[in-house]
Amino acid sequence: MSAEMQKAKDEEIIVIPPRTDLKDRVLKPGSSDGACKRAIKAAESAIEELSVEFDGWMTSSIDELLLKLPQVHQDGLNSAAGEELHTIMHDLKGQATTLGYPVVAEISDTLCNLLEKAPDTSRISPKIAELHVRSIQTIVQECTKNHDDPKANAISLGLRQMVMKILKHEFERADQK
Amino acid sequence: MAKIEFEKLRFVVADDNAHMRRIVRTLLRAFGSREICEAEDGASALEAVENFLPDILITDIKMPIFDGIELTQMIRNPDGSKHPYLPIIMLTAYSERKRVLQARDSGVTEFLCKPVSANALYKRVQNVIENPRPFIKVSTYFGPDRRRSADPNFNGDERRKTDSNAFMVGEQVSL
Repeated sequence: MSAEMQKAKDEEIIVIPPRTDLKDRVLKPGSSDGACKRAIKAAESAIEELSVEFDGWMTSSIDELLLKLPQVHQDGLNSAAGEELHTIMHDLKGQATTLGYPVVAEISDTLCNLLEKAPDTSRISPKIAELHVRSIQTIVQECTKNHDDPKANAISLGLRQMVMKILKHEFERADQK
Repeated sequence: MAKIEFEKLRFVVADDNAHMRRIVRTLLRAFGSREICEAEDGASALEAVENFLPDILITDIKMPIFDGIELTQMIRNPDGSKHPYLPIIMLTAYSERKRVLQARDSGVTEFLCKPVSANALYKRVQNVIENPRPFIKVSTYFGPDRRRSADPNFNGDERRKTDSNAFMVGEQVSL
């Protein structure tokens, strides 16, 4: 055992008991499950009411992505513009399902996966990012919201298979180096 | 399942995406909470935690200035932070094991993957309140106990100090 490991092993570990002040202050004793279910139901209804704004949010996200594309084509995906595009895609990955576009979340996840896992993003063509952005645009404009749409699912599957091939190739290339 | 009096809870919601902050705020307001402070980056979130003194922080990972992991590390500083025991729920689109472990090791209390649902958020808040965990203090970590369950096959020495001194540490600390 190294000296460092022995030191860590000998170190004192202090256990501080759980704090219950928050529990004592806000937990109403003796209540039934009904109140919790009503709170969750109320929150689901509130999101449903908010959903009238969702299409506008999605459109503005797509506009932002389209605006970034020329700069990404010029500077590459390993640039500041590439990072900004990644941030918008990452946001879409997290919120598109809530906005009613689960396939858009999948496609965003596919591109994020490529940008986060590729050993060298400078080798990834900006055309791949554009393909994802245009696919999202097409799905939002032409496919059924909130439902399994065969066209949307086929686009998403195609992109995912393409990205898997690219990543496989890039990993093999990095291993050979 | 006991009822949580959300109207008594103060939240800070930190996310650089305004739409996501709106969604989380909408959920919390529907649960009954009225005191919700929003922050759009790590620095504003830290300022909000120090001045607004929330009961719970809900934070994203990917944010400008400093991210949710760095924010958690700053809050979990028993010597410099005003609110080292603050329950922190990390709400993020990063679901990879590496990120979850990174979040755990920075000291978050709960981890929740986007897309967020009313049910999932409620359950995380409920768990934070109903099942507070002990805090562990060692030279390399300060935060909620990372052991969620006891390992029945563990047969090594128990190195954790749970004597009266340790409990005194807990009694001396105030929120």
